Amino acid sequence: MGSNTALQYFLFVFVSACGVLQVAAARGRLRGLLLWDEYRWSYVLGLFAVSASFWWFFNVEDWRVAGLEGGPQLVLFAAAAICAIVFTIFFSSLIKALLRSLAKDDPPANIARSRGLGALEEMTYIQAWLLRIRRKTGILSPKETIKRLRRILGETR
Amino acid sequence: MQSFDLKLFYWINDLAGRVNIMDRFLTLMATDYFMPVLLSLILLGLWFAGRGVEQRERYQRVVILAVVSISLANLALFILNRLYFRPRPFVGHEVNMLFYPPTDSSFPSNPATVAFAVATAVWIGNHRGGVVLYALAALYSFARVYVGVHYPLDVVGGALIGGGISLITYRFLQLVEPLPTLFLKLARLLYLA
Repeated sequence: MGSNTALQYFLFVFVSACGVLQVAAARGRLRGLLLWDEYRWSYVLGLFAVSASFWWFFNVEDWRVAGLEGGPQLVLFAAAAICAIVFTIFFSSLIKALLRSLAKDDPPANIARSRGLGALEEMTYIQAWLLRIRRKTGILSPKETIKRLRRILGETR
Repeated sequence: MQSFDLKLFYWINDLAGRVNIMDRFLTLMATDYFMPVLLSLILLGLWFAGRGVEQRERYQRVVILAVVSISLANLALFILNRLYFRPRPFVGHEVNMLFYPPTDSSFPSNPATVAFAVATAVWIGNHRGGVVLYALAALYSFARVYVGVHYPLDVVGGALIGGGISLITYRFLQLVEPLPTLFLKLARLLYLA
């Protein structure tokens, strides 16, 4: 087993896991995890990533010879899958923040109450955490701070 | 029984080397990478693919069952491989080899055990998805015989062991019920379930 095989295997799993996450998030209506803010294009993007990574790996690697052992394969799969989840969470939050397509400071009450992945139907992972931190600590969001300041200034005038 | 197994092996393995595209396809299916990665990716997707709270939780319980079943199946294989060794078909027989020669015990087939453990776990939670995974597991097992690294009895034994372990794991997870629920609650707190 060469380190080259391990690296190729890691990249193969990482890209295909990113693709699978897009398809699964589109199927589960988890808009907060989508890199492309449309379900149909997320399916296309995800299926393309999975097919391309499979095509690439089985063309660069001679898979008829003994490769990675079961143990290293399991560790590399887990590491690549975790990296794919972190990548998807980070980049979906970043893209949404840049596009401001899901930049709601006050999500609907039912969404705000929902826990777990359900919260990602209407907000990104980072937004969900920020919302929780604000609720727990009572810290206002920048928009709310400006609103309050304006109200106070309006009252003093 | 063993002579029937050998006859069946030759019947399948004699098909190898005749149609190039068939050889390439089934060798790809038999590799150490294709099916293991495909099955694992299906489980990863299943974790996030549920629509609504109920379906999501049902799918996630299936994934937990599959992961625990895979772990227990590997433990069972580790013990069985130390207790019993069956030489591979290419040892002592003339075989159409399309693959590298593995050195561990032929019985039970490790790939069939793990693939059928996953398929049974998914079938318990979702019959339609389970049927698709049973078909993939059967294809994987057939491919291993076709390329000359397993006897049919190895994969049948592996399928029974894998399926049985999943059913036992299902009951076991019911017995330790607060644990899977606690795990899901913790993952939900982190917005991961």
